[in-house]
Amino acid sequence: MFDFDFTHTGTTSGKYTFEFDGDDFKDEQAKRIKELIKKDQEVNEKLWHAKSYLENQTGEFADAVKSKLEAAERGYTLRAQQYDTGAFQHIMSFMHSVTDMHKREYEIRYKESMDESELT
Amino acid sequence: MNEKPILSNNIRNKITQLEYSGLSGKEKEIKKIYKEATGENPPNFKIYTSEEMGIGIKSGFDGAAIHFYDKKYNVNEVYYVFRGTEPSKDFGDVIYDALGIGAGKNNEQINDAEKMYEQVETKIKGSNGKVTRYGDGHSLGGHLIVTLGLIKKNFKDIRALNDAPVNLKQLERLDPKFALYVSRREHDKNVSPGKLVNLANTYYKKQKATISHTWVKGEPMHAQSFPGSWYAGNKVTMLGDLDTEEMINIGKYPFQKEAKWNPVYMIDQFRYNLGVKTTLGGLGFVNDHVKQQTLLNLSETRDQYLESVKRYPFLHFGEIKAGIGVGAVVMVNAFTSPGATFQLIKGISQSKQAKLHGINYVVKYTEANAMKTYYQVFDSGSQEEILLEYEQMKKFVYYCANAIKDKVANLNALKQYLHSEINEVFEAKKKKVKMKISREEASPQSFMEKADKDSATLAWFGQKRVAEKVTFDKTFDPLDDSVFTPVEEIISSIQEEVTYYQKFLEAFFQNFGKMMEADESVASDIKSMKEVIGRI
Repeated sequence: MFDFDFTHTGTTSGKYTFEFDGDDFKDEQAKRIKELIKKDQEVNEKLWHAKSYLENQTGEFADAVKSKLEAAERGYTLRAQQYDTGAFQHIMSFMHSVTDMHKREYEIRYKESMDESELT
Repeated sequence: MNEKPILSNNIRNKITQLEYSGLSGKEKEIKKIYKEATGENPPNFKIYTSEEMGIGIKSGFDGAAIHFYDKKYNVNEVYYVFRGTEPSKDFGDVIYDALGIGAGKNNEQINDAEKMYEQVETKIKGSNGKVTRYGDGHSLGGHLIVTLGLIKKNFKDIRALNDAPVNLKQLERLDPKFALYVSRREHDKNVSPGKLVNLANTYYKKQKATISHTWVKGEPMHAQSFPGSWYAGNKVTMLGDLDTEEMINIGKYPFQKEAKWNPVYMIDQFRYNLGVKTTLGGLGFVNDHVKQQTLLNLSETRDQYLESVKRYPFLHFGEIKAGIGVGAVVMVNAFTSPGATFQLIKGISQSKQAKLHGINYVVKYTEANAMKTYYQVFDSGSQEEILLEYEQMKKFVYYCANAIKDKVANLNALKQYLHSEINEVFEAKKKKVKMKISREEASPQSFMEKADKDSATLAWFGQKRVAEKVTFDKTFDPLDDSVFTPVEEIISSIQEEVTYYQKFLEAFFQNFGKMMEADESVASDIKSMKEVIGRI
């Protein structure tokens, strides 16, 4: 009698994507970095406001100090846009990296048989 | 010797006010002023007046000295009080204001002030102990007491009220030691006014510390300047309503900033300054060529002349014609000059402020304690004396230092975010993924049914497939550079901002310290402030 052995092992592989809420992550990280940038802007505003202490002072010395702060304020307007753009780029890259991290390669090793008893 | 002067500023103001009616025989009034202010009787004193000494009849100078002397209580103080301009009473004072101060030509009143000083000093010489000298003067009297104080260099404290400035050209002639100091440093005989102010600031450093000015905000005198005018002194107390606008400065072109780049204003400024110079030169010429007595009687002569013109106009036809011509030229010049027109309109709108010049306002506002003290310092940028409110500057420094400190703290938070937080978030997410992997690896069958449905169902017909093991790739790529680079760029930019502000504060300190070095207590305060800021 032939003993047909239809039991064998094999492997199969693929890529499995774990569930991940990218939008949630993006919002959370955006909140954090924007909070830090906003805080810096608030500090700057405080520095520019220091001018008010010189309002009643006369002469080129006070004028020079005031204009230094005004120049810093003007310069910041441009940088503020760069900070926003930078923060956006950072968040998007971070989100993509973490999203990609959830796509995992796997390999399944299996056993096949017509005889169920072989499989237990 | 008592450290604190017998007379407070308030009492000194009132005595300066009283001097306008002459201090001769005013012992009772002075005692009353003292008692009202202190509740006590004053120490013994003696009054000396220029009038009694026969000084100032020709020049219009009027001054007095009160000598407080009490051997028992170790009191030996003399207060010199000089009267100011009284246009209605003594036109000579006005002439002195214009000629003596503006043109720096007339020395008659200061010579009389010095004469009176010498006589008083001779009289009080006999008193035991070292005499302490104080000085007060209003308007022209302020100019005289400050000039005298700079020449004599032995006053403990001089207070000039709504005073006219010192004229450095005049001072150079009056103080040979200062003249020598100038000539040793400047070989050119015509030293520029700016340089002269610079030299005076160094030479009279010690005396400056003893002089203070008290000005009613908006009164006309202190706003005026002319080449070589100098308000010697380190402190200025502003009285009254501090929101009152300062009066126009006739000697200064009003659009100086615009004149730096706009040719119209540039030419106008040249014309304007030439006008001021010509006026001062003309006044100097008048002083050199016209008898003082004629000038003193000018108001009378003017009235007589006008009366004659009214009565006999035809006799004066030529002069009227010439007058109209000159008047028209002046008007055309004034109205074609933006600077002169501005000064004219502004001057008219501020005309009511002229009354603030009076000594009465100084007394009134000092009593009401409506005042703010400023430090007068030399501004190297504009080469001018400027007023700084030290307390405000101090607040400015601390405010800036604290803001910079906050900025550094925030920058560190950003660095922390870059170097730790991003990785922490990444590691946390990694951990979660690993946990999910472990869960799936623990149940291969269920994973296969979920992930590889096709393989599970399309197994050989009749065959059964069972997942034995699931293995995930557990290697994780590091985060991409594009996650970090933008944050790094933000940090480096903010770092530059921090450096900018730190350098800004450092430069501020350097200039501020230099400007305030004349006042020892402030200089040491700045030094300790620097240490505190360093710790911040």
